[in-house]
Amino acid sequence: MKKIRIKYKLFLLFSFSFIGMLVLAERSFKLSQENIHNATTIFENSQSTQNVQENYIEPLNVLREMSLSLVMSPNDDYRRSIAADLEAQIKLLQEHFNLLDETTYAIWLGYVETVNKTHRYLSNRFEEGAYVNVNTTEREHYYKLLGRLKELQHDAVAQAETNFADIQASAKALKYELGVIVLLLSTLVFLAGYLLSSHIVSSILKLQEGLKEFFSYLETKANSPKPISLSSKDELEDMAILLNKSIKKASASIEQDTVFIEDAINVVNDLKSGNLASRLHASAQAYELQLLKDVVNTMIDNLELKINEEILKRSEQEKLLIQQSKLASMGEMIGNIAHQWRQPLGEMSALLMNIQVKHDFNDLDDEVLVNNILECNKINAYMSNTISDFQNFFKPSKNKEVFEISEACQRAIAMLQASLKYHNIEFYFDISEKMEVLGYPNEFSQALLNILSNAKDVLSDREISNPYIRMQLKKGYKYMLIMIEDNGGGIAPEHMDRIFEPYFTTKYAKQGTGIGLYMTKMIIENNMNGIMEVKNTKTGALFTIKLRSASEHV
Amino acid sequence: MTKVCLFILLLSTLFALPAVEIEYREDDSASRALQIKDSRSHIKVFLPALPYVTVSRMINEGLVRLADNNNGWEYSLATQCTHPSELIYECDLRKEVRFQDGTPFNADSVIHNFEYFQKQPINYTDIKNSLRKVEKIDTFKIRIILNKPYGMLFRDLARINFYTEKYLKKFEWRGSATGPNIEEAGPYGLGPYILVEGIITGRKQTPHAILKANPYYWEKGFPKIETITVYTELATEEALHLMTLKESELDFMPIPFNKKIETMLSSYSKLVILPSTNNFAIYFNLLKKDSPVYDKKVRQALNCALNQHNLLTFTYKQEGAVNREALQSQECPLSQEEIHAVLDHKTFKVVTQDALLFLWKGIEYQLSQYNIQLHYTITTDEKKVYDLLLSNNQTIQDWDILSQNSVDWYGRHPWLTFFNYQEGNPWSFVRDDATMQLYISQFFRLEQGSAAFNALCEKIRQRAKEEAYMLFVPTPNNVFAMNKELVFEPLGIGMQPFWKATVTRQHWSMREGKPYPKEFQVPILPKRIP
Repeated sequence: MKKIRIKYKLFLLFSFSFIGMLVLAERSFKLSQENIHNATTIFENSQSTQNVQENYIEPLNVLREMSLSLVMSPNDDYRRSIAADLEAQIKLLQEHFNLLDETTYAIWLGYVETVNKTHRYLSNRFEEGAYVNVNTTEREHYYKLLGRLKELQHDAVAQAETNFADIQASAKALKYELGVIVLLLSTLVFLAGYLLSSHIVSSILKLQEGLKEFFSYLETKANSPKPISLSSKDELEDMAILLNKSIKKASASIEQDTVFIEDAINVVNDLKSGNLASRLHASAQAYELQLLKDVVNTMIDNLELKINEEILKRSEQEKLLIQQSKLASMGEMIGNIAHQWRQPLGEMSALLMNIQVKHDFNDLDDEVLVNNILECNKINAYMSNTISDFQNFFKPSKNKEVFEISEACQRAIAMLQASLKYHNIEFYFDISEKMEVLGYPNEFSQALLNILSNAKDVLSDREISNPYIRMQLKKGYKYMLIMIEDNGGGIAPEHMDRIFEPYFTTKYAKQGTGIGLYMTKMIIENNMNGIMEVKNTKTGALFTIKLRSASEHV
Repeated sequence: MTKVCLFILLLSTLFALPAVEIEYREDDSASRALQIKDSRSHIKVFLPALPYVTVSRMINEGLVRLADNNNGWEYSLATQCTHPSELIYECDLRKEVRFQDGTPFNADSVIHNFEYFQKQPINYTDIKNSLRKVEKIDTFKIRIILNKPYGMLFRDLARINFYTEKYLKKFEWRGSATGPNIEEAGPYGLGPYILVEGIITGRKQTPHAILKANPYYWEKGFPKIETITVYTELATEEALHLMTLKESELDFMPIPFNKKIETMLSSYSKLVILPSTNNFAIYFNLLKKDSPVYDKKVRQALNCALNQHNLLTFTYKQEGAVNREALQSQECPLSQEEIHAVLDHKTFKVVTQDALLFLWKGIEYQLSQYNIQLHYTITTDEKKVYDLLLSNNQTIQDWDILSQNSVDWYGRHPWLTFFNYQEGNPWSFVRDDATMQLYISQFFRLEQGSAAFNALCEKIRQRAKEEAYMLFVPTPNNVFAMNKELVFEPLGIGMQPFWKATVTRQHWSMREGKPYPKEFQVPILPKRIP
């Protein structure tokens, strides 16, 4: 069986089935033929029965009824009419009975004689004799003849019954015959089918196992699948061989692709770590992966190129930004210097005016001159210090250092003190204790100055009555909070999400650069690992800076 | 219940019939008849209707006797009569005639009897008014003198029998309505038989009577049977049973029409049928004022409602003839609607003998379409019928309709019917019909058969039909069952001349206990006379 190919096995099975069907059809056809024959016979029997009924029994009953009516007839007119009908009926029946067997015909003649006798009695006015005859002898002959006709009917019916019984017996025998044939053929087909199917199923199961193993391998990539082992010498073995080849090939491809994917992962990790020079070098078996490799490498090339371009661009932009920021800071610084210098310049001018006056009035003495010069020098020194302070303030801190926040705050305040005063802005600075943080103090002061400067501009621009700026320093367990609040009306809600974006400004009219708060957030969060947030209060804006204390860094 | 019983009986009769082919034989009893009276000979007869007519005729004789001929009578003790004038008849008497006690009969006997008769004449004819006297001319010749012409003289003479002096002294002549002068058994008459046991008067009779041959009877060779037992009150079914299924119990009886087959097929009886002048007299109680039949329209409607032809066909089984007294269909004075209106839901009290039940069932069936109800009083005893009938004139009875199984006691004469219309007649309930009484008074004076007689009869019939004095039905045939070994030709009138009957040696009375031979038990072809 193992040596036979499936198509031959199936051919064998279908051949069995086909032969079985042919046998069954032949037997059924035979039964049908027999049934038709027997049914025809039954039909003929039925016709015979009907013939006896219609042509003999029923007319005989009519004759009997006529004879009785003849006897009972109340007058001669009726009697003559009935007698005529009776004679015609006898003639009709005579023709019919001539066709039957001698026995029946003899009985018929006997009956007719009794009928005629009744008739004769009546003709002779022997009513009583007719009455008796019709109810005795004639009746007896009538029943005898009727009985004979019923016998004929019975014979036909019996023949029909016999035929019917034959049909039943034949049908029964054929039923058993068909049953045996069906049983044998079914068994044969079943066994053949079972053996065939068990072989096929066994092979299919092995194929299934091999495929399961292969698919499992496809999922897990853990263990390489074993080759499917079939020795059925049929199409399934061919299929197994083909599958084994395919599995082997697929396994090799998968392993190669796995290497490729690992390479890809490494490249991605490199890219994550900023190594844009990393490229996919492994080869994939799958065409798509190979295509992916080319695409990824091209993409990384493009990305590297774009990043470099972007870096360059950003660098330029930052340069520009820094330049702008510097210019802005310079403007600010000049403004602040101007505010800082306004008083000393006035004092110096007064001293010079005093010298001029004294000179004009010749009241200038050396002492006054020297004193005034000394005083001017002092003033000049102050102004020079001011410029140094500004220079130092904007000088970037070179390294992270621990510094006192309040001092950094004081430096920022000092930068803006004169301007605040100029704009009648009340400034409150609440510091409870000294707090140290690790970072860049100048950048931090610059950041505070940006916030304060923005607050000052808002209060000034919006012409807020009783303007104020409040700065509080609070020390927590791990963090320190610096809160700067004003009553400048707050930030418009639509601007709230964007105020830390670079180049976002609401001060176009005053040549705002949109860099200040961006830079401030960068300094706080990127350089000093702090957190900066803003929200509106009832009266204005509240900036909160949260910095880790220096002890936490340690 | 009665219908059901009759139906079951009919069915049982049909299916009880033998299945073998029935052969019939001719009646050859006459060829085997005894020519000389044997002292063992004995027949038993059942006469359910007016038995006294036959019995009286057998034990008595008068100048003439009832006969089944056109005259209705024949000479008996008178050998011939002359009619010298309109009111005189002279008759020669038979000589050497003796009464049953051996005393001689002559003109004196006649005169003597007429003397008694005229003291108490019969009351149902006009003899009492018509007869003046009877005179002796010589020892064997008498003269009858009438007051007025009387056409019914000889018919009345046939009922004026002569009795011995002994009888007359004891009982006189009693002109009763029925059965005259058979008050006691004894050798009192002149007839062929002597009543030796029982009495039969109609109003009063014993269940049976026994007659013995009169050794002095004047007619040589008669009677031919020694003993005759006459039964008067058997139930019909019982009588039929005795007649057809038993031998030696009954030799002669009239049978209902529906019993012909049993009679014919019986081992012991044969069937004899002949037309008759008997009738079934059906009286309306014209005296009962609260009776529906007191209304002439009701009586007319009842007569109109009966289909005589159908009665004849289905009830009489064709054994009868249309009654000329009955209304013909075109003679009905009422429309069909009037008949319905008059008869609708009427109830009648009917008295009848059981022998006439078959007739009443036929009548009832025909009247059922008018929703009529009949309440029957049925009796097997004829005396009861007579009592209810004849006492009605004295005390009005409760019945509305009464049927009497009458026979022709008067010998083919219309008086058999007309006497019911005569006012004062004990059988009549007609009152205040002067026309009818005029007709009847004229009727007495006319000779039967004359043109005037026939015309008057027709007038009387028409008058009776107009007034619907009676309910008329067809005239029945006489249908008799006779023992196969009885040789006898019955008559179609109400008297049967059994003195002419004889038997064969195979008759039960002659066999002395020997069984009746099988070959004689074969059914005999019915005899229809003529």
